[in-house]
This record gives sequence, C-alpha cells and structure tokens, in this order.
Amino acid sequence: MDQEKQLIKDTIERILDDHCTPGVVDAAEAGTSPETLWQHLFDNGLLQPGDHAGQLLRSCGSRAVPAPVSETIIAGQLLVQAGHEEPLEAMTTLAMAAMSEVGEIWKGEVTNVAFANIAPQILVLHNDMNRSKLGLFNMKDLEITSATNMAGESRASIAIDAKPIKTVNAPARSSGDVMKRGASSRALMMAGAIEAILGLTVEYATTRQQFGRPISKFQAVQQQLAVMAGEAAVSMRASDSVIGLDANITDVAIAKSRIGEAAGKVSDIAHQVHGAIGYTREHRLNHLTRRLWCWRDEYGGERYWQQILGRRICQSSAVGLWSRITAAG
Amino acid sequence: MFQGLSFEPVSLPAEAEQLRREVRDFLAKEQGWFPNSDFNAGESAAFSQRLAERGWIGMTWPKQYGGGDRSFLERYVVTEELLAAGAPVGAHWIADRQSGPLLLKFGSEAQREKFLPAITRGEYFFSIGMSEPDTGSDLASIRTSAERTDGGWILNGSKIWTSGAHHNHFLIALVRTEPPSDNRHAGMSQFIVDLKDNNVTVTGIKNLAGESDFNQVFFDDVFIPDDHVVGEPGNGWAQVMSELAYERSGPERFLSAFRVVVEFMEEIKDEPTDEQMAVLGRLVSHIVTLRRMSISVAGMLEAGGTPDTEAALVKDVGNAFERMVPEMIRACAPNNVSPRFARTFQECVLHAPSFTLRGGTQEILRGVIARGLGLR
Repeated sequence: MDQEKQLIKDTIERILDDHCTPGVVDAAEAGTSPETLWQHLFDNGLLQPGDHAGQLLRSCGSRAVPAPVSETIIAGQLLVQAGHEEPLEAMTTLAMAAMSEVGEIWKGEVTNVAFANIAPQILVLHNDMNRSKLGLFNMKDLEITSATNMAGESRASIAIDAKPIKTVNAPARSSGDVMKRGASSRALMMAGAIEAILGLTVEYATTRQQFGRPISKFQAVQQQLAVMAGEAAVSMRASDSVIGLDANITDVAIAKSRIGEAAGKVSDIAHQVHGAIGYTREHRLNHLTRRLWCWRDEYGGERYWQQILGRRICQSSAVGLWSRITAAG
Repeated sequence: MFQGLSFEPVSLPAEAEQLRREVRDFLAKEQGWFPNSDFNAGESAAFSQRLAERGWIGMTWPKQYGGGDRSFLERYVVTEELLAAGAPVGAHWIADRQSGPLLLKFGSEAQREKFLPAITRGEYFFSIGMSEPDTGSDLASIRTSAERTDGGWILNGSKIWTSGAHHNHFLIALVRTEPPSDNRHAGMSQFIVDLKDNNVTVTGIKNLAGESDFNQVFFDDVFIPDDHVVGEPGNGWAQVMSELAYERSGPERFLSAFRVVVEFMEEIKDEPTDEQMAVLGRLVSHIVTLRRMSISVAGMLEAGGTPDTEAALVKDVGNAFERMVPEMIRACAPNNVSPRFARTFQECVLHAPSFTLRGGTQEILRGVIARGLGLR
C-alpha cells in the first residue's frame, strides 16, 4: 500500500479505535446513536464521497461501525452525479423504490432501511421508466416501523407520505448504480470484518491454553486458520477491485459473490476455534460474524450476483471465456 | 490489527498484452493436440520446440544464455495462455519453471553455458528428483546418497514420482552427500543426473488415470562428475527451498481444471438454466480472483522478493478450487453430454486427486501458511 493510502487508513482506524469501541457497538444495538464517532468522521471530511471511501468502508467493517456510513456516502455520490453540489450535512440513510407523486407529496413504502432509528434524514431514489428522481426527507416526517437484522442493526420499514425537503432529477438507471455501489459497500465492509476476524482468531488461538499449550499448537487448529487466512486474502484482493465505489458490474459481481462465499467459511472457522466463549454476546466476535451473516445477503446475495455474472458470460461463446477472464484484469 | 497476507494489485505492462496477442496467434495455428484438462497430462517435444523457436522457453533468463531477458510478468502471460488453451507443455515445463532458474542462481558458469541455451532451444528437458519411496513431505529424510570418488561422486538410491523421466534428458536429484546429523537440513546436495546413463534405470508407474507419466528412477553406482554438482556440495537444502516460490506460484496451480469450465459452457450454450449460469458465474468469480493474486505473486518475484508464503497460499486456495470444479459442474450438468465434454471432464476427475498432492500437499502448504501467521 502506498504511503498516502496508508496514512489515510491509519487516520481512519485511529478514529475508529478511539470512538467505536465494542461498548459503542453494544450500545448502538440497544438504541444509542454513536454521535461522537459520527462527529469525528464528519469533522475529518470522511463522510463525503472521495477516494478514501472504499478504505473507510473496509475499516468500518472491521470495527462493526453501527451507523449508515455507506448510505451517507452513496447518497452523497448520487447527489453529486445529479449535479447537486451541496454536500450532505447530516447522517443520511438511503432507499429506493417506486413512488407515486401527488403534487409535491411522494407516496410509497421502502423496506430494510439501514439505521432509520438514528438517521435524521433519508435520500430516496424514485425510479420510473423514463427518469429517476432523488428526494431527501426529514425522518420525522415519515412513519417508521422498527426492525433489526441478525446483527442488531436497525433495518426499518418506512411508509412515505410526505414532501421531500429537496428534490433532484437523477440520471436514468440510477437504481443500477445504487445496487452496484451498495453491493460494493457490503463487499468492502465484509472484507474488513473478515480481516478483523482473522486477527481476533489468531490472537485467541495463540493465547488460549489447553492440554498445557496454546491451542494454536495443534495441527487441526493451524490447518483451519490457514484456510481462514486463504479466504481473508481472497476477500481483500477481491475488495481491492471495488474500492473506488465505481466499479463495473463484473467486478462488483465477483467481489460481492466471492466475498459472500468467504464470509460463511470464515465465520464457521472463527466460531469453531473460539469455542464457547465466542458463542456469547459478551465476546466481540459476534459483532463481526453476525454482521457477515447479514451483509452477505444485502444488495444481492452470492446467487444473485453469480447469476448476473453467468448470464453476461453466456452472452459470449465458450471460446471467448478466457479472453473475458484476462480482460477483467 | 493483524494483517493477513497481502496481494497488492499488479497491472500487466503493455508489452505483456502484446505478447498475449502473439501467443494467441501462435495457438490459433496449432493443431494435432487435444486440449488437456490438466497441464501435467500433455507433453510433446515437438510442441516445446515450436515454443522454443518463438523464444518462449527461458524467457526471463539473460540473453547470453539463450534467454529473452524478459520480465516475470511477460512470462506469466505466456504461461497462462498456454495453460488456458490446454497446450501440451509438459516436456519443457520443469526445465523452464525451476531447473533453469536453479542453475542461474546456484550453478557454475560452465553449467549455465552447458544447459541453459539447450533448454531454451527445447533440446534439453529436465525432471525433478526429490521424493523417494520413504520420503514425501518430509524431504529432509531422503536416503539416496553419494560417496566421494576421484573427480566426482558415486550415487546410489532411488527417486520416485519423477514425471517425465522416461523421456527427459536430465534429472536434478537431491541427495545426501554427508551422513545425517543433528542438523536435518545439512549435508545434502543437488546433482545433475544424465537419464541416459547406463547405471540409471527408469521404470514407469501407471497413475490412476492409466497414464505412465511418472516413474521410479534407480541409481546403481552412477558416476557424477564434480561439474554436475549444482553449486556447492552441502547447499542442497537452501537450493531446494529457493525453488519453492517458483514451483508453487504459477497459474498452473489454479488453471488445471479450466478446460472443463470451457467445455461446460459449450455444453449449456443453447439454453443455460439459471442454476447453470450461477455455477458458471461462481466458477469465474474464483478464477478471476485467483488469477489476480497469482499475478500479484509474479509481481513480487519480478521485484526480487521470495514470496514463499504468498505462493503457498495461492497454491492452496487454487488447488482446493481445482478439485471443486468438476464436482460443481457435475451437480448441474445436462443429462446428456457430448463425447468431447465427457472426455475432458473424466480426465479432470481422474487427475483431480493429484492437484492437492503435487508440488506440496495441502497439509504442508497450510503448515507454511500457519507459520506465516506466527502459529509455528
């Protein structure tokens, strides 16, 4: 990694280490918004779209950041793409759905909205056949039905029957962009979480003693950790190809599906090596594995993206398969 | 926070892409061989010589020894194109991949001049002599040994699983030149053995697929002149260790089953089901990612590093993937398949057990990775 990128990574991770402790993650699951963390990220300019965003998401994944970081950044990107220069000033979540417009009022329902319980605003992408529109709403104008995913992250349903505080016309097919960027964000977050799990598990195995020695001395455990390291390396490299949050659909499909596959294997091994203590809420492993089990299914699971990739490949001949692989770089 | 092993993205240079086009043009005109579904399953001295004429053997070696002075990344492109096409590369593969580099790094000037140009012309093919009937993963336990004599050594013992020894010209054998001691890795040397020597006997062994590709080689008082000892006597272990990154890092470690994927695609082309398309997408997601990591390792070699752990990791993940390929395809293949698909598929299944054995078993590679994690 070059020096500048390393500096950005170190800055991000210092903020996260200071302000996104396991206690903050647990408190967020109980409903407390991580405002100090958010303020630090915001004050450092990290929540605007930029080259740092991919690394930010990987690092956020590794610390289980319980806030709509990817949503705020993707919302910012959509607005910039639509020619709207003013940056977002507040925590913003994101949704897309068919809406109906009655005068200036938008009506419709969105589901699985991330962190609606703490985000004061939401950007909704409303697509119809001919055009897309972005509408920014104050959360207090909307009707929220709370729900959480397996990781205790808020994933609410929202009934919209309100006037947006801002409306912008968006380029057509923006929904494709949301899927690609959303999938990329989950791929990056999973890669970060996987790397963190590898570190936690190696540390556990080298300190936990049984039969008079660290369990890392047993070949059965070493072999499993080696498999985990393989999946972690694969995940990191796959995520590098989507780190700009503007990747082509092939790279997104590869990253999301391959890292989603890795997520299952890595969590299995991590829990096996950690034994019973890793199976508690008290130990921090659950912050990461529960998130992997959720994030792998958000913005399309493995099957969804494998099928997209396979369908695209089948549009060319078998003879051309190798060329497509080399063209992917 | 702990960092796993890193595989920085590496872009192939423009020269490499130009070379790719040349290799594809070359392959388009090739005929007379059926694409193999395991690089180890195809060999043709004539094919190797045609490659040699294009300058594609010994590409990274200095021009003074017949090489092309080209980068590891350019070599990578040539080798991956050949493997993806299922070309019969077996005859020259070992010489090009590791025997030549060994002599470049540790051999005497006379050895470099004697062997390297001939390898680049496709005139000398090499086999590896490491395993023995009682020595597999525990390489330091070898018993083949040599005793000092006038002007050289007298070699006795046996090597096994020596691919290609029945028709290659030379074997580089790891032998004991001093008795075993407390230092298990001391006292070994590598010898260049002439496979046509009267005191060398090569006996074919039929593998599970019915091919007689590998062999047992017997040494009966074989005279090895001093100038056929690679580098210094006693330096054998260090030499063998230095070959490992070359041996383990290439695209052959995840492309062995690639032809099955191509034939599968051909088989489903008219009306692919959703499941078949998803399986194809899954396979490609693995191949693309492994390829990116493998190129990264080639970049590390180009930069002069010794990416032993990285090479072991890519080989381990790659080999596990190779073994999965026929199983995944089988689970969604059409009921009636063409003879061509059946042939490629069956060859792969029959070779698959060897993917995770050769060049370092899965268990050994995972031990290397574990060491890289600080666990051993």
